[in-house]
Amino acid sequence: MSAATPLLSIRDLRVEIGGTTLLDVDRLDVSRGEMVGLVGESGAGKSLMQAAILGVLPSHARTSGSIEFDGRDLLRASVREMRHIRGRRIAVVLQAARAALTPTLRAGTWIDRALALHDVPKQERAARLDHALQAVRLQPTLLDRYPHQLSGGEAQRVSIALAVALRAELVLADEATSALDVTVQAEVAELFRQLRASEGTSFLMVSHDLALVAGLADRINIISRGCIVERGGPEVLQHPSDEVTAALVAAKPPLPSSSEPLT
Amino acid sequence: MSKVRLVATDLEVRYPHTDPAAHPALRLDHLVLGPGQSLALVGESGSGKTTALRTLLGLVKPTAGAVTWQDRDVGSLKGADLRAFRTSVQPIPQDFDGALDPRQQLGSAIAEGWRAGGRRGAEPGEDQDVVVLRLLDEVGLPASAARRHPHEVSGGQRQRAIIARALAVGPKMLLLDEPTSGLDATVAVRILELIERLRTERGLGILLISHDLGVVTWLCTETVVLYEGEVVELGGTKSMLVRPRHPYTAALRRSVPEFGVPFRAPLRPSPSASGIDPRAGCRFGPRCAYAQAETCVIRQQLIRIDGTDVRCTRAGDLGPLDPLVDEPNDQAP
Amino acid sequence: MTTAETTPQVGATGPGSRLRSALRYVRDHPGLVVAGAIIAFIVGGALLAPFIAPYPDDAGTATNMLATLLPPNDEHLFGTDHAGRDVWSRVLFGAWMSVGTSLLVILASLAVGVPIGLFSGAVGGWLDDILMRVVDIFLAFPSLLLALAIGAALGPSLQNAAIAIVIAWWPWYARLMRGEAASIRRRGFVESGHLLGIAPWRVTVRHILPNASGPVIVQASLDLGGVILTLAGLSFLGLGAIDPTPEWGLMVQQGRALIQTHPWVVLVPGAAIMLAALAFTLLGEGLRERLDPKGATRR
Repeated sequence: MSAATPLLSIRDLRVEIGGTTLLDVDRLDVSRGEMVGLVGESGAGKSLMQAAILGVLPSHARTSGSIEFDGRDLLRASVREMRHIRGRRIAVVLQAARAALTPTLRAGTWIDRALALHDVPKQERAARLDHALQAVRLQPTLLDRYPHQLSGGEAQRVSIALAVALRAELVLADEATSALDVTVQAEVAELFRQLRASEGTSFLMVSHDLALVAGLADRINIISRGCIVERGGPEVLQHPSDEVTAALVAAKPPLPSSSEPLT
Repeated sequence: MSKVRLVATDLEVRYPHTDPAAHPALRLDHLVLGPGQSLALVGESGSGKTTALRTLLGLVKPTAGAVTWQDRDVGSLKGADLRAFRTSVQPIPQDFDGALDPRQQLGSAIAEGWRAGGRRGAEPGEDQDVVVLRLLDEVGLPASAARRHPHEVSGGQRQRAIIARALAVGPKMLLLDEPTSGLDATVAVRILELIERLRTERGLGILLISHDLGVVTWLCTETVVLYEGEVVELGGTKSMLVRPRHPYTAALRRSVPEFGVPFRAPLRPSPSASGIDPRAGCRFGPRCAYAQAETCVIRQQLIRIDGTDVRCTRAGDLGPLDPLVDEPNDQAP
Repeated sequence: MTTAETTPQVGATGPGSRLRSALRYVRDHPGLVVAGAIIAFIVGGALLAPFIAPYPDDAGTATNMLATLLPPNDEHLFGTDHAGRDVWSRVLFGAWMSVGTSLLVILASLAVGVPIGLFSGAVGGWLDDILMRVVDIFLAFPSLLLALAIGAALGPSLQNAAIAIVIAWWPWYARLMRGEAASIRRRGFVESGHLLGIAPWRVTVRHILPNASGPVIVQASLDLGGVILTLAGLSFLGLGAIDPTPEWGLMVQQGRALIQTHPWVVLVPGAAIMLAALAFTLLGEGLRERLDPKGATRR
């Protein structure tokens, strides 16, 4: 465990909407180069937490606590500061892969425009794009395609390529693989792992798929009704102390393995 | 009894306005579903499983081959015979949110189905309300659900209501399209238990379409694996998943995340894989860890090995594969 | 954004909270409240006209040539017109003429357009194409001009003006209904209905129609304002109501030349037209928010 300050550090985050407390997170950390999982069922508060990190909560939401990112409290950052951070230092990869891209732009143009919007100088863009394509293993020919001509997995790679090109330090993967075929999901998950190794990117993987996250993440947080009810390494699933976790683990029908007798 | 079967033979489905040189959306050599049977169609996007479902329901006309119900060609049924087929073979659709009229109470929807299906299963003198309550109970819904609208109940309960409505017409076969997708794990298990109970208590034939191998293993004794419109493997579910014969089946099995097991990276395609044209040779070739130039550049045929049908020329050489090993583990010389 | 568990906090119960929630409603839906007030006023006026109008006969054939063009005074709330008739009484009776007729026009247009659109959208195919081409022909003409042409052909009278507008208006509802029906037809529950063996006509009427009606209802209420204006316009141009019918548009036309010297003759019925049109437009917008979030209506 690194002794350095975590890249992302959430403390006592409370979000209230319409008088109801929807999120009450005492602690959540993501260190540099770490892959952290946030797992919960729908409505548990995963999306709300991400919205809080990115500063896109609805205007009538009331928040308290702190979200420290590289020393800056995101809840108290100015609009300008958030715009600098959002999308560039903290990238988001969404579930609806194609919908994240602009439908009227070719993939390559989309990346280029995004780089320009984030003030990457023209001379640098080509080099960054090359590096990103390599890291993400995306064939350059796909850059000429429009989003509707890309498969889900390919579109996801384009989003991730942008995150790499922008040198994002933290990637919020919001059910990033849930809509993909399971074999494609494995390929994208493997890509996350390789990026962590090659670029040092941290990942906050938000998902309802506990098994997937458990296999990938260094540490897991289980969220239920707005609170973190369990946290720890993947072994937490073998000996869950919370009933929500236990229920999530128990619910997945097991696949036959070679040790089981064949019927 | 032996005639109560849904059979597809030499089925080929091409969608209109598609390139005739391209491969068809679906080619299904042979499929039989009888009472009490449970069969799975497994595949990812583009596999043709949705096309298969719609063709079996008679919603899509095959360009070759036929679907027969009780030995009669489904495409030729009309009028009362068609209605009899419709009530006998009921789909449980994937988009269960869209399958219910948002303005209609659940009890009313079930009753409507019951009336349309000829008011089956009612004792003399029983009225609609009693039948509805009985069906609600059978699927595990409380009586109060009858007066609720779809958006007033949870996803799992909506799914149960749809099943109740399908049961109201007295079907002999249920064709379920991804019945648990979008449902939380705990809820999904309950739905599977319900389906299994219905199969044994009512003797229904179950066809399950899914991409989720866990679901399929739980429920179905036989599985058909589809890839890009073709059957690549067909056989007993458990043996197929423990020792698959086709590299795609192995990849499918390998990619399913499991508890207590670290993430398994997918096998890299073999060096020859990139040289394979999927339109002329094996469709899975470009992604296959076992691809070889000589055998895989030609169209692959279904071969029968040890009770399993496999569409892979190398299957005999490869032997049963172990999907959990991190390297290609064929036994070929 | 997850707001799944949000329930609006219920304030303490009691008489004060009822008033507070009423005030909150007014603050949140100012349009609907204003619209409701004006419409209540108009409907009240229309229904009670025979009882509260000070000079009910003035709305008919009575004239009083000794009292022409009097400005508002104690006996005549809004003065009198060129025939000595009480403006206020005529405006009250005009409510029924203008608004009531407009309402009937809308209902008739719906009665023609909705079934045609529903049938066309639900059935699809070549029948749908043919019907919609017929509708297109009607829609190619600006509705006001079409109404004018038909009104001119039929001859001036309030009934003919109404018929003319119905003929010009129904295609819009047919087109709108057809669009909604065609999209609802693709929804899962329609296919489920067919697969359960429910008769197609039943599926159309019991499932497609209720789900497709939202935008049509919104458009109809928005149109009410427009029809009031169109009817007034036709009367203004001499193609609608004729004297002595107390139709607002006609009253505006009759007083038009006098606007600089005797403004009340024009302004009062004019204001009535404007308020009525405004009220129904606000009502339509308010309904749109509640029934048609996708904004399928357009005109």
